[in-house]
Amino acid sequence: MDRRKGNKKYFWLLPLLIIALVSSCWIFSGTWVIIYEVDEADIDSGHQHFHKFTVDLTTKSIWEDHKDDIDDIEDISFTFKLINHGASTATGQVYVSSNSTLSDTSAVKASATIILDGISLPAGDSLHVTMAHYYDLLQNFETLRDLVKTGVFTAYAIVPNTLNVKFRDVVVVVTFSAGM
Amino acid sequence: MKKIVCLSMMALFLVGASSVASAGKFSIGGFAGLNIPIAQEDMGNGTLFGAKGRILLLPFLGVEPNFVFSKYGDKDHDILGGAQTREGGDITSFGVDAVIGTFSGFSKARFYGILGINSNTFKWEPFEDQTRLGLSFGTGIEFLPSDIFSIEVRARVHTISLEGGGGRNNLELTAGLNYYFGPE
Repeated sequence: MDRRKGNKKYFWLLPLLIIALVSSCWIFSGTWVIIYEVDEADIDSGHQHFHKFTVDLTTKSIWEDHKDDIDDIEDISFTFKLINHGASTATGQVYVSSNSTLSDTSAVKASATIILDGISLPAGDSLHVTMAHYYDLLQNFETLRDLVKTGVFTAYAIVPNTLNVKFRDVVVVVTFSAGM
Repeated sequence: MKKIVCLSMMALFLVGASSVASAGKFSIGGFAGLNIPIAQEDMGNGTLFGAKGRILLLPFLGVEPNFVFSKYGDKDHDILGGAQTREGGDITSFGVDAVIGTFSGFSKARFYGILGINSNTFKWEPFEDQTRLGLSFGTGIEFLPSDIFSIEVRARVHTISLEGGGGRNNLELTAGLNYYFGPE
């Protein structure tokens, strides 16, 4: 009889134990950051109106270690420098796509997703888009997030003329949460 | 989920309040300290502050409705040899902790365990705020230099689920003061 009373005394712990079990999926979770530096040699500037590069996260060991347990892509940042050697103000946009073979600007605009807009660069000037600046230009984050989840995507930086507007120091910072 | 947490908090608070007369002792207090992210490469160490009440339901059990505002520190990322800073987010939390220890009598120090549930609003620019369920567990020690004031230090792991899956876990190290009401 006394033992039964003793057991009942701890019944209030049961809901807490259930909550703890249900929540175990997020308790054993962490957040990792990949800093993906795009090699200058990997930027394809052979098109008249866009620079293009492919981000392949599967080449990063952190991604490979956690790819099967990824819960969410929490943040994606692009940082880069633009240098305008032209005689007039240059405007630019960045698009992303799973298709790495888009060959002209109209194809990029038709089938890729714009993620950065509003870039404006006076003649003879340069612009460093940092993590702080990047969010002011960001659009369509959800589409970008879905694309990054696949591990590989291609970015197209549209400029008036690739010969005049140089695209340098490109870094993509991906923050993701995954089970441990 | 927010409604469930709020209703649970209210129910626990009402149960607690109705038991105050029999338990005879309750307190209110404030605390502040450090918010240390666990396994989060995108957040830096930050600070927190909060307020809580404690209602003793049984000699070994109390409940603590609480409010906590915690902030993550900014995080510097090394990008091409230079540091770029990503701002940290912040969390506003309302919850109830159960405290389990020896609360009968009036010893000079009490050691207790903490187990709690809370509703958390996670804000991180430029993304939309998320209000999510969280759990907390930890331990604390309370020193009682007089019969109305106590000084408390505690370590609490605060774990919060996220909308897309996964979660954020933080170690909260705090110190605080409590003021006691009611007869012993």
